[in-house]
Amino acid sequence: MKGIVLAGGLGTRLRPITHTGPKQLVPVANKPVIQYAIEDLRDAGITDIGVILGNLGRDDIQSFLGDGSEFGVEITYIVQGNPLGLAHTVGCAEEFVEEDDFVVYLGDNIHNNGVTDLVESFKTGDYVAGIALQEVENPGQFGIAETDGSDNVTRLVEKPDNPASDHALVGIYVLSPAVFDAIETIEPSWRGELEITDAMQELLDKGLAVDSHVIEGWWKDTGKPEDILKANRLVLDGRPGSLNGTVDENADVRGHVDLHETATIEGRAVVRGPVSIAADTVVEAGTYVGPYTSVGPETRLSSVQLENSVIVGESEISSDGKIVDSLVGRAATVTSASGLLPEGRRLVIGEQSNLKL
Amino acid sequence: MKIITLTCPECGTIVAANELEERRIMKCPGLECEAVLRFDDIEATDREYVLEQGTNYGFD
Repeated sequence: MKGIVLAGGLGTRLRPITHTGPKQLVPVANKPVIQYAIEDLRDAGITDIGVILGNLGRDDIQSFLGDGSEFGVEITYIVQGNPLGLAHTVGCAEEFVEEDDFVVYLGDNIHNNGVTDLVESFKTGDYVAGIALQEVENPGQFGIAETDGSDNVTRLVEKPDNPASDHALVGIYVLSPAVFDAIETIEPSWRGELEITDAMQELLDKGLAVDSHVIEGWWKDTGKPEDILKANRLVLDGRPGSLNGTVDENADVRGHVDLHETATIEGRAVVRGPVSIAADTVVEAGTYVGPYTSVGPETRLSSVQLENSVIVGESEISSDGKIVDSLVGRAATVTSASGLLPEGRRLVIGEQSNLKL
Repeated sequence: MKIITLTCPECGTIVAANELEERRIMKCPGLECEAVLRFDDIEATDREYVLEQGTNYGFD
């Protein structure tokens, strides 16, 4: 079995962070989102992986993943170019997939239970496809699968007005090469995209069996800043913490804290886990780092109170205020305006930034 | 809709025909690959199909 990880898309809902890099490289608990997908596939025994690239951030993604050897996999790159829909993305992988079954994994999604159960469920029957489902409270906002008593999918509906099921598609598929014939028969939808749900419905209309598997645990699409913060909370909650760096004896560190071996927590700093602090970062005296915060590499925190936030890295943050629920992009600087005249906040903000002052 | 791609003979990187049509000629995007890929490397019938499907492929 092979794997396909989707690393395209424009990341518009994550701007301005995605003005300078692809959304799949935004870190969650100090690990780029796409790395979770690669590791989930590897842990399911899938090491031959095609990474689909769009128009933006190709070099960044290739630079990060390389040939895959650092992650224990072998990567083939597939350039899709314009985002023409999930079915187009899958279709671009036909030469890579050849005659194998394959798992399709959205590169900006995180699942805490991986894909092994879904793959095993697919293998139990004579299926041409398998889809991962999760129970949601607002099924009208998702693609919904209706199933029979044996978990076989009977119908797929995109954002139904009157949902007959509360099981939403969560963006992981196991597919056989039969899907390529189905893709060839469908046409772009009203939004100009080749929809994977149309291809799956085509398989169902031909009487072919499509498996469904309700995944356990949580699943998070990290398309928006609040999703990144939520995913960060969920991942940090599952971490045991590991204090590998330098902690001054006068620092107050409690809870689960991941501290990189080259990171430092100075005396009179307070850190309350779960927290992740990356390489070469310094938490100076008088600083408070509260629960559900991830601080990226080469960052200096000074006299700031920081909680439930993601600092991507290479930043200096020395404001004397409290920063909460925030996503701070790479190499951003937040310092104090205290003592400056005239009094007031001083901002240099990129396009589509979002501040609550 | 038929999805047409070209595989780099040097490194195996795959490029969608719509991307090649847009650029006509491009350095292979594979890691450390120096091969040059051309829209004309795609079979004539497939090229014709891509051009006929211009709107669906995001170009006219």
